[in-house]
Amino acid sequence: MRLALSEDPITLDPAFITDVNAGALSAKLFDGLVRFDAAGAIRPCLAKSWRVEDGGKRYVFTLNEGVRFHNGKTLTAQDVRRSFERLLDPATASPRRWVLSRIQSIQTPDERNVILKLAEPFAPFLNMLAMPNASIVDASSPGRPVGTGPFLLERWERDKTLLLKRNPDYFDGPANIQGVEYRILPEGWAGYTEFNQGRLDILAVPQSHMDTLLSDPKVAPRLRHRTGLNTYYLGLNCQRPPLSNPQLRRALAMAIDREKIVRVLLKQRGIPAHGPVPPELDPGQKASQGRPYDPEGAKALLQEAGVRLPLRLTLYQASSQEALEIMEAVQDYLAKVGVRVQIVQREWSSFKEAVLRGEADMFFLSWWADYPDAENFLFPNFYSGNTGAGGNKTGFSDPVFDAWILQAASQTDDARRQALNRQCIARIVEASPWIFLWHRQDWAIVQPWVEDWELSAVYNADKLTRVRLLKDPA
Amino acid sequence: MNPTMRRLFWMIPTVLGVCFISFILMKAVPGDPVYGLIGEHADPDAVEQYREKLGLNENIGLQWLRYMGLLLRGDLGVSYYTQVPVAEAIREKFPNTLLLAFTALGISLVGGVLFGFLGAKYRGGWVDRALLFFITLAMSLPLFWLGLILVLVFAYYLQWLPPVGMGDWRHVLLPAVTLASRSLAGIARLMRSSLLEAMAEPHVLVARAKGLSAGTVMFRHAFRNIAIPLVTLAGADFAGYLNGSVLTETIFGWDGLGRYAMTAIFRRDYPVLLGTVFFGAIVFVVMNFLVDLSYALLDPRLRKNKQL
Repeated sequence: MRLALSEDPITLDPAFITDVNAGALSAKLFDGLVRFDAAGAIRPCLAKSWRVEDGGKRYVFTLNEGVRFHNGKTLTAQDVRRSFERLLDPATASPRRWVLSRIQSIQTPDERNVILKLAEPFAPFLNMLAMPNASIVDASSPGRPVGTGPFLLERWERDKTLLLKRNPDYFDGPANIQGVEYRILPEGWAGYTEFNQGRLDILAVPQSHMDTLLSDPKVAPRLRHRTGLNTYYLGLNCQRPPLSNPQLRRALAMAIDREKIVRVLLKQRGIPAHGPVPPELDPGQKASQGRPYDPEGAKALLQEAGVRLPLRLTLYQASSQEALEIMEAVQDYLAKVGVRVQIVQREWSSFKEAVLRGEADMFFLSWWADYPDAENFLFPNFYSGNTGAGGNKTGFSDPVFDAWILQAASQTDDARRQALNRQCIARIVEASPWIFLWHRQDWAIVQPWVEDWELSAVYNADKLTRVRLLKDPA
Repeated sequence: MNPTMRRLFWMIPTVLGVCFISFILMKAVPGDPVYGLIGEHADPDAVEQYREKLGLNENIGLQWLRYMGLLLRGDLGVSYYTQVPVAEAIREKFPNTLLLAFTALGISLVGGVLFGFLGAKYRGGWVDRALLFFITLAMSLPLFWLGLILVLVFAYYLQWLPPVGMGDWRHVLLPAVTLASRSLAGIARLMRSSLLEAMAEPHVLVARAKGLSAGTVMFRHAFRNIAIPLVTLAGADFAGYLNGSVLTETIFGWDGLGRYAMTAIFRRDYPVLLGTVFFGAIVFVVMNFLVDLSYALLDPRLRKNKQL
């Protein structure tokens, strides 16, 4: 099977994976105790079953029998312990220690059972165990970590291709396809041309070709789509005036017509966002909860806040033509209520530096879920302890919200947890550290000979064991 | 010191100077490699930890000295991102760049000489004017634009050639033509004007008077006088190709030094950036040196006078 990647994965060592490409690849090479299915629900993987005890503070996992690493070694509970300890060890210097940092102790009473103890109950814990960073590796072998996944890494030519070969002994049954060839194709049009010439089997539809493809009735049956677990937003710098004033932030949110931006500029590529969390993870969400477009209300609020107009603000964005068009629309909307926005385009690295240093009044960014839970939107982005590299880039800090989100995360009763999450979301909508813009839809197109493949909600859910090809790629 | 040796010696400060300037520029521009490395959702102390690990907290002078120390040991350091030694990556990618460079050189020389010759032979005629039009076009079109148009026509509409990537000979055509376009035009222009000039020289007139045909005279007599400027022009362009054309390689997904450097720029992968600049500077001075040496081969007078 032939697929395209937009960028060479930085690393395939699970302890250091931070990007989506590498995370998606790691799911083919490695397994965790549990995994996500296409809809994002937790399913057994290396762990055949588990029990949650002690009010959510103790997890007992029973491993599948006879699972073997690619080097032939049999998987034992020790490997689970060593993999987790490796990630947690400060000497490893992984940027993703947080994934497992809630674990207080790891016990292995025998070869097949692993007991994880948490200091406090943490409802989304199993989600974290399904993340690439929590993959189980044979840490005893030197060099590149070895996994148990359905595919083996056969060859990796940096910036060019990655070849995966089917693991015939995969514990969950070998994949239908012989192997996977990933080609690194950074340009959207290149992938599209390759796909058209039949040299790729599945393609994530590039932005540039979305309109052409989506309006072609012949192509329709071969398109797949799903609302991604993401939120595109304008971050407002809460740490310095003038945007440290919540009233002003609310006014800005009301001055932008996101429905129209989505309808005119994004078309079918997104749905308007009414809060920080996409609707799939926030079942109680209503369109009215956000701040509907109301320029007159915005003007009144600005007056009430005592802001002297025209107000001048900077809006930072990472250079991209598409983003610029949308930011110009935002600029236009804000100008109508007397706010003059200067758009500052930076390439990615310096954009990020400027945002994290608090140089920007406003910035355009998106957040993509690590795992499908509202907590993953609320905690990293708005908890005051995560300010900076931890995810909270606006510097939003609210003790009430902090208390609620911690409470929600440790709540084991689902209904109560959801109620608390809703409360947190309402608080964020009220305080407006973000202006919510849209949730992006993922679109993919498959060749007629591809069967049993669907887009997954989470980037590392698909292990490519089910998909089949009706013809052998030439 | 023998003049040749002196030239060789002066290469060292030239290369180090280029590296030093790049180092300063690299540190002066905004952007930080650490933010890319740790991703969007990292442990709060990850930034400091990484900066420490990569030695970015050290004083900038110390960082430079450390890099010089590495160079002295023949080491170019290790990529922040891939953890692959830079020297190894350059060894791996240079042959790809070399293939593209030689193909482009071939195209520009053959095409340039041929077009220049035709232009001179049919001076003022419609062939000459048509060629002049294309030469002007090729010299003024931005490379990235030309590259994209070639892809659009030959890969997208006609589907004759693959749009990007590497593989068989068909993959090399579009990037090589793109890369060659400008120097092809330059060579053609040089050829045409120099040939016309040379044709008016007394020795050429004598040859013509002896009854030799215009074409024979051009290639046998006039062409010799043009050899030196031609080698200078093609040599400089070729040195540029050898450093990997950043734009062409990036557009066509050609896994050479240019694309390698481009990726490093966006990621602020300092060791890779410095390594490619260092290597590029060496290639450049060596190529210039070889071009100078070749003058002596092409012109016996220079050999006798030991002007080199």
